[in-house]
Amino acid sequence: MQMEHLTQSRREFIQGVSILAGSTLLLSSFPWLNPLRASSQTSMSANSRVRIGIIGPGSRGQMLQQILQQNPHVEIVAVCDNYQPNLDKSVAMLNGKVKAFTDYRHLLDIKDIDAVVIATPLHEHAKQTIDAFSAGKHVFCEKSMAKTIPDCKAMYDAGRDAGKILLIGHQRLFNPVYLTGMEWIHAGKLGAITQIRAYWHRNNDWRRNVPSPELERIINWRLYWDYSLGLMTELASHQIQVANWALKETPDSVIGIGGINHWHDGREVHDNVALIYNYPSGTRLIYDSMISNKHYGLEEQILGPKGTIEFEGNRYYSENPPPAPGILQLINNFEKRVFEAIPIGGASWAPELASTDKGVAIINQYPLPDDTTLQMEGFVQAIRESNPLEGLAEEGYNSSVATIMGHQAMIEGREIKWPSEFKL
Amino acid sequence: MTTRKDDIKKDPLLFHDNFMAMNTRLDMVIIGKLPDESQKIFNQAKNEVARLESLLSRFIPQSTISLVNAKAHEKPVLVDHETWEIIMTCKKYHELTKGFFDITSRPILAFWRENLEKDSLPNEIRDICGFSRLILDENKRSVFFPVRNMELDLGGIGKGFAIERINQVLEQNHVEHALVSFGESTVSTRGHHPYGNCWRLGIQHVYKPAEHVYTVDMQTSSMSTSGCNPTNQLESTKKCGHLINPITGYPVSGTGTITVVSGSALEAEILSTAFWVMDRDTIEDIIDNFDLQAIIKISYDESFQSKVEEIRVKKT
Repeated sequence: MQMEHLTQSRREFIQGVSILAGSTLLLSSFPWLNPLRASSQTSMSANSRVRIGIIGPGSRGQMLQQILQQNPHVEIVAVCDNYQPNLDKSVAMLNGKVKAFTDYRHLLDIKDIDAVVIATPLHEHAKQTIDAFSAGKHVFCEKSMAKTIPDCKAMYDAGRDAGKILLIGHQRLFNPVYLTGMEWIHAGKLGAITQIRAYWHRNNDWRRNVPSPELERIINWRLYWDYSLGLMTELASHQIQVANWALKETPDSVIGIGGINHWHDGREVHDNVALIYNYPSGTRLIYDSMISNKHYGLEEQILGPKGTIEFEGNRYYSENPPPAPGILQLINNFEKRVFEAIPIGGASWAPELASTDKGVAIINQYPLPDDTTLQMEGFVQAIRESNPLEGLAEEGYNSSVATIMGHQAMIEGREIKWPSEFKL
Repeated sequence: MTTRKDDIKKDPLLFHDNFMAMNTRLDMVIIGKLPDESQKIFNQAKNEVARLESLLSRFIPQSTISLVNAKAHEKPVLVDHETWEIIMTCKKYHELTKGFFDITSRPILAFWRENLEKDSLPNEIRDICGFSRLILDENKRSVFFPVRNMELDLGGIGKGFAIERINQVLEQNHVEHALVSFGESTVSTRGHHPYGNCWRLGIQHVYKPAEHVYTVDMQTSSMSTSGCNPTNQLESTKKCGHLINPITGYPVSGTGTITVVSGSALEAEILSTAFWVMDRDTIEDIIDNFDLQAIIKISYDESFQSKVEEIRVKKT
């Protein structure tokens, strides 16, 4: 049995959660973290277990399954996939002790399933989510929400009407670096935000192995418009969510251009995109993504008159240089009410220029708990305690709508405004 | 205006911020003012330093000094009243230091910066330096360079002027307790530390910057330190390219610092540099031209041991 190993990593994880749960400040700013506080205090002997069904245990779905398998408060009751190799793998991960389906509606028929995890291709999210709410289940659905704005709205409304939790997989909402950095941003540490830049660059064809040609569209669904909106829904949606979160608003409009300039291999979706989102405050999100160069990797840069935050790199840069070491000592002494000589009188020759500033870490504590694990923990705890993840369905909806608007702007070659009937 | 005069021990109302100016970092610590007020005073000081820099910096093409450097060999260049006063102050200190302070020495400095391993200074460089060559017309407030390629460089004393201006800002705003550090080499204080009866500053060990060799207790005063350390001198000769003797035109050797404490930040800054390149007799010769609180020379032997020489310490 693997339990010994799982318990070990679980213990480390719980220690990590206490970083978050220990911060009253974070809990009051981000109400959806409240269920996690209980998680770090609850004993490991579970009394109530959340019964979960997994729909679509492909690569991402299996990762979520593995995280949930380590959670003693979870019982995975059923799994469902219409691609047999993935279904077999998922069942094997549970040593066969799980019900297996190829049609998700049969999974939803199981009365005592509390919640479903949906990790299917994008075009299936809306129907599966709405059906799950009709069957009385809570839903965790991978990002992005859906392919069309009306579908997103229908999912959101269905969850609200059913009184069930809808969590879209934007795991940065549970990431300690983001939570701390957002706390700083909202407290004005950067001044009012004047620009956000974000990018996601990879250098690969974004393809998965296809065992036989007729499976191309099923396996590589991300490459075709029928199933996906490409880089926008699969990558950009995360970073648009970060921009919305930082600004505490949603974009009014977007312009953008996208196309294929490298991977001429029969795919339909763009392999490079460039967009500008316009926010009511006058701030712009300048966004681009490509998959033919990975030198710059990925980043979200939040810029204000007093400083810069780079979330992916866990860095904060002040527009002012850090104080001299002697001055720092003086300031620390004040706090301790100490009077002593500070080393300061030196001959300074070498100018210290801001351009060489390496910044400081937003969070200095390692290892930090994995954000996807925290997200799934939050989902499970919220169900156990009937404590809704306040504000998160809205975060998921708003970033998904903005993502789809960006796609429309590129396809239609015009500025797309947020449709008023789809404002929350 | 809300000032908390009493109880600075209980609640010192510490304010700290810094900014970059004149290619280095300026730190300000203000005690006993409410945060908004301290921020306002800080901004006022920052703007004043920026304004001064825009007059005096040779790196800013539109500055008065840049204009002089570009045109004064063609015809006399008229300068504004403020710049003229600064040039006159430089003239005064040139005379009081017997020529060891000289704002026309930049071509010599530039030469040694690039050629520290060479033995001699070319005559064509020596011939374009020397304050006495300048033709200054006090009536018109104009500067004329009789030879091509002369230059004025106030880089060495800009920090001193800037701190003097900041001290005026602090005075106008009735700040009683403060510390201003410009690049850590020139530090000015007012009043005292909330938990002591003075500000206690340590002169840094050149090989171990986190440690200090000598402490100076200051109230309302300024301290400036100049010198050579292993990072900026030629290893074989211990010569230092940024500190030259303007009389001979040659760099001086040695590892260590000279610290000057004075009521004037400008004077402390000028003299710490001038004293570093003077011999002891010359220092003694001119020392009474100034009202100094302390001159501390610290030298280092080959095993990095420090030796402190209290050239002058005025007991209070």
